[in-house]
Amino acid sequence: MHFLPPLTLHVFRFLLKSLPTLLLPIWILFDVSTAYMASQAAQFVWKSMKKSDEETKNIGKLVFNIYAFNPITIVSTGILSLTVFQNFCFAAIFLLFVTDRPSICAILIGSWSSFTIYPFTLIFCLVFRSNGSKLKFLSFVTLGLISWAAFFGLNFLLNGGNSNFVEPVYLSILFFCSLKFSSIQPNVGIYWYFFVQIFEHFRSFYTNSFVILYFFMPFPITCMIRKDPILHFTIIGLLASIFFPYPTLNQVSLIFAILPLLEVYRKHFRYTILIAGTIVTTIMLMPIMWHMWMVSSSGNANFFFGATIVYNVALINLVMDMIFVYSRRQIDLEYSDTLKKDTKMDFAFY
Amino acid sequence: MRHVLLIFCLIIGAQAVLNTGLQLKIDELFDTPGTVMSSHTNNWAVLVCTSKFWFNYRHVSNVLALYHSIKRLGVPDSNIIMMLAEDVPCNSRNPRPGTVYAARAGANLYGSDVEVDYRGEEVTVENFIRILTGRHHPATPRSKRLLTDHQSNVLIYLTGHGGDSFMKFQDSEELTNVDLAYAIQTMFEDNRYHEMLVIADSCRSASMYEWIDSPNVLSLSSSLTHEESYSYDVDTDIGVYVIDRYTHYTVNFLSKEVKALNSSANMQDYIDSCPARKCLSNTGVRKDHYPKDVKRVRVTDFFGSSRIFQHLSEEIVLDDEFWA
Amino acid sequence: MRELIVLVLVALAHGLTEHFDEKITLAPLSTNELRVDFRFNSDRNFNIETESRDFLTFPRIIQELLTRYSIRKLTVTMAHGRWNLDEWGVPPQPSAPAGAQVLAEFDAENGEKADERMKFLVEALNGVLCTSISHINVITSPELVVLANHGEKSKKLFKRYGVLSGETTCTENLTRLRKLLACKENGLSTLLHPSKLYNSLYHSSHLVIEQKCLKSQCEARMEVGVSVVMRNPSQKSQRHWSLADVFDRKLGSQCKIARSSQIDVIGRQGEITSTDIKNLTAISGEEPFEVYIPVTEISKKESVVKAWSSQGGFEQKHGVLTVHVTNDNSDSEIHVSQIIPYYVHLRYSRIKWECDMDGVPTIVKYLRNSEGGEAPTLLQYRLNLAAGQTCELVIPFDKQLLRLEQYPPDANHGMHIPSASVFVRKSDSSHAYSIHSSAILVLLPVPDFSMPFNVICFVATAFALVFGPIQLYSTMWLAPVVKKSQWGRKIHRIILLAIIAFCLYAHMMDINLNEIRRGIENQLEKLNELK
Repeated sequence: MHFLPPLTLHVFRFLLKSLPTLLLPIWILFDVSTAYMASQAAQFVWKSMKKSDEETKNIGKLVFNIYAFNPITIVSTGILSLTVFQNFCFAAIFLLFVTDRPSICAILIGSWSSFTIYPFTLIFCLVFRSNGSKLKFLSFVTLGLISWAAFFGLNFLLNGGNSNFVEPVYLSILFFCSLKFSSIQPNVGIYWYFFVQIFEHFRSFYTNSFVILYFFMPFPITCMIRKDPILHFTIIGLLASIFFPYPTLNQVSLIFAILPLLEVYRKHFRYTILIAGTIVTTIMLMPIMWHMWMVSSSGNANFFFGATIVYNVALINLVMDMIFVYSRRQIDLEYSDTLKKDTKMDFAFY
Repeated sequence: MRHVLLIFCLIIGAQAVLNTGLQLKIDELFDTPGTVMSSHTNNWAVLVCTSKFWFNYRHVSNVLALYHSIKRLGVPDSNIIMMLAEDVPCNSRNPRPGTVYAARAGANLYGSDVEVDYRGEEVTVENFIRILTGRHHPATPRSKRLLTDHQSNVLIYLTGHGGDSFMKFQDSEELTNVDLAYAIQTMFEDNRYHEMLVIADSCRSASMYEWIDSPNVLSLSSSLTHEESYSYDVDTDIGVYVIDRYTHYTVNFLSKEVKALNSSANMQDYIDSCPARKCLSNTGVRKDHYPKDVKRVRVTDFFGSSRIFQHLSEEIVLDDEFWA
Repeated sequence: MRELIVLVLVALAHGLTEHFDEKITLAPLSTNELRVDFRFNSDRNFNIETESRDFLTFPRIIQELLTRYSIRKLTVTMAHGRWNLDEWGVPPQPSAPAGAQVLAEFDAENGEKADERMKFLVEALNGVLCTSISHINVITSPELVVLANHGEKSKKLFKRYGVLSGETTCTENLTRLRKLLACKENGLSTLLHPSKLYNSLYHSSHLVIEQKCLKSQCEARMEVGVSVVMRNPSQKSQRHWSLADVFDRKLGSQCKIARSSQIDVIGRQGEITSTDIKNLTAISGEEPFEVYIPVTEISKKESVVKAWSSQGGFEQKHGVLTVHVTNDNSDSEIHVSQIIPYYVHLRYSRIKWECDMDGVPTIVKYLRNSEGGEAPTLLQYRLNLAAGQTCELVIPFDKQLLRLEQYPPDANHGMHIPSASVFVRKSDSSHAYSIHSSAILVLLPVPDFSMPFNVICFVATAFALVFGPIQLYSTMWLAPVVKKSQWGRKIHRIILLAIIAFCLYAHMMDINLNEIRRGIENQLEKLNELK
């Protein structure tokens, strides 16, 4: 999050002024509760799949550990990164989603989107909670929009009736005023170097097409993955994390933590080692490249850009693999009687 | 009957005599450069040095040397747009601050009569195209505009580092030959010139005029597309080359052969002034969009200003724009 | 002489008075440094109702500027080099930072109109002074005093202040300034010889124009000033320098229309020897007029407030700008103004003052934040310093990665943060002046300029990696099949490989795209001829 609406500014001004010593405890509290919520959600999923109590307990522990002991999460908490709050929101939405409380979930998604518009695509997950009724789904969307509008109004009032925060907070990363990326600083995302290098007259074209692509993607994914809400949530969440305008490494921590919930697909994942290895390597390389570019000047911007683009391509490949394993598993389920375990198969699209 | 035959024979004979070339001679007699009046009324020049950095001293002195030549032949400062990308005269590396010399024993080219219109970071491809097409920000002062009309002869002179199909501006961007051709085409469509002479003095400069297909444009270059251009003289005191060969011979030609505005030197003389043994590269000429015979065009049509006045019958009110 | 009479007659007819004064001050600063100040003043009293567009000595273009942009006061300075405050004392006023500086006060309907007017004014100045300051960092309405000659406060006027540190100043600017003078070719302006003036330690020039109106009676004023500090102006004599030595030319003529043409020479104790060459008769005779400047060490050095800027930080992302201000030996009120361009972002919460002696005095702070993309930020502080006190303004900042087209042509050279302006007003007397600290060159993080296409291709490929499979899986079914040979696919691959091989070959052989195009065009032409 690069630009923040007035509400955040007021909250953090208050925190900085009145309770500066409590900042780190607050962050730790949020971090731990994120891990706790994620593990609760995982246990709930396992319970609903009628697994044994021990398995349920184990999965809870596993998810908690993966999130809480992820070095990136720990460091992000230590430096008081705002992504801790984002992950908290994310975990809360996930918990509400799996425990079937769609209305509160929609309200939470709407209010989170009032800070940055990108997570709004998560609202598509609520298709699985509308029991096939379009009206119900639309009412969830409306609920999300209403809560978004409520927060917007609050921001508007806090800003003294001045709407000058709209442009930097929303429009600078969304349509028309041409997603200017007016001051784009190096980050681990996919956009930054592109919008440094792009020719001025193509800027609005690319910004608009990227934003349209991003907000269009949930439609086909929702049509495609109709039978597995958890996988659907993971894919949408991962896409939101990748295409966030100013992402950090911590953005995907929660998604990584809930990956064990996709256990049924595990044997179908094709590039597990490759993706894991790439992500670990690029995360290790990033600070080195940064140092070479910014501090020692022995490398240039391309080095750091190389690390970030490979990292992002790895994440994108993970998404693609998830889509593949879903189709693959559907084949397994469909042809389970004719296919033997060791049949070698080739696939084609029809 | 005999008379008719006689007359017929005479006509045939006269025809034969005229066909031997006498007619051409007679035509030439009445159509020499000295006698035919070019139909332009004013002359403009855009002189561009596109190179940054001190070691490109020679490009600045190229432009300045040509500037002084055309100024001597009557083109006023207000009709010359000069773009210098580097502040060479007051550069801290210049051992003789405030001066530029094109030869070791030459005169100072940067006297107090020099007017630079675009300098430093303002020398960009965008500004160059804006000058040609005349599409400026409304605040741009008159001294930075090319205020030509359908009776203007325009000289465009580009010097700097070039490559196949482009000219490097400021070491950071390029003017491609297509850009140049489009800008000239826009000028033609806006009726902003009568005749135009484009000179490119850079390596591989013949490629610069490759795409120009607007009428009445004569294009010259210091080298062919596959050739490099060379510099002429080095000044060991300041440690840099001080002028390029092509421009050196151009300025030499102008100072020797075109002593005054009424000089009858023609463009062919000018084109021949830098043969390959002097320039060390073959100069390029493109005449196919230029309808006149270059032998019958005076050099001063482009390099001088004849200041032809016209009488106006209507009353003209000079607005504030004029004085700004 | 006849012209003069005509001029006077014309002037009387229109109720118009114009004056032109010229003055040159020569002050030795040490045994090998000489300070030369040229001052040319022109004023014009006229009635705005009966104004007849007649100009005697006042330049018409300046009057056009004043009227067209409703200017009350405008100061433009250009300078090169660093003024040595320790040795040379108070700099020439209005003080000039390295590069160009514009401070304008004018009338306008509202702020937006004023901004637009400033834009036009800057372009007009480009035309008048032959400068290229279109990219100047303009600040709207500074609250505190920036330059000593713009001291008065007036609420109705709009103030705009801008500094461009990278601007060079050279002969063409001097030529344009000279063109504004009433006497361009004779009088003291003959001594304005570029090659000597620019071969100096420091040179600055300024143009101040103002117009005041009382009902219909208006007074327009113009001051053109050139100040130079020369090192070793002459090797000939050890005891004194002559004008011919210093300026490489003789003063051969008088300016007849000037009201006064004064040459002041400042001696060892600060005494002034003044000569008015207007009344001399021997100036163009056999024995040319000459003035001798004693080569001395100035014994009495005036104490002056000092200011300088320095930069901290070693990486290309963060940095610290420190403005040091040291007071002289009496209490003074100090106004510090620092322009911060858009390419560095301030860390507002960490900006602080650090002082020695009695600690930090009470400081009044004004901050004008930048609105919009490339507008700069202005920091202004007012404080009272005790005698001899040193204070430091510490400004931490983040350097921004800019867009490709925002970088100057040689981005690795760095970009300037303009020098801080320090205005000094003595508490006990009305003595006031301004000084400037040094400009700072910051190295910004730079992208690689050579490969925008590669980056665009890579990122677009990453997006295609998302889009392709989503499109594929959402529009088609995945189904198991028995393996078959796929000829179409193989041919497709072979074609791709061939293209890649050709590209590699062209790359290795240094074949230019334009050469390939020309080759194809030649072939086509040959085909045409065959027909």
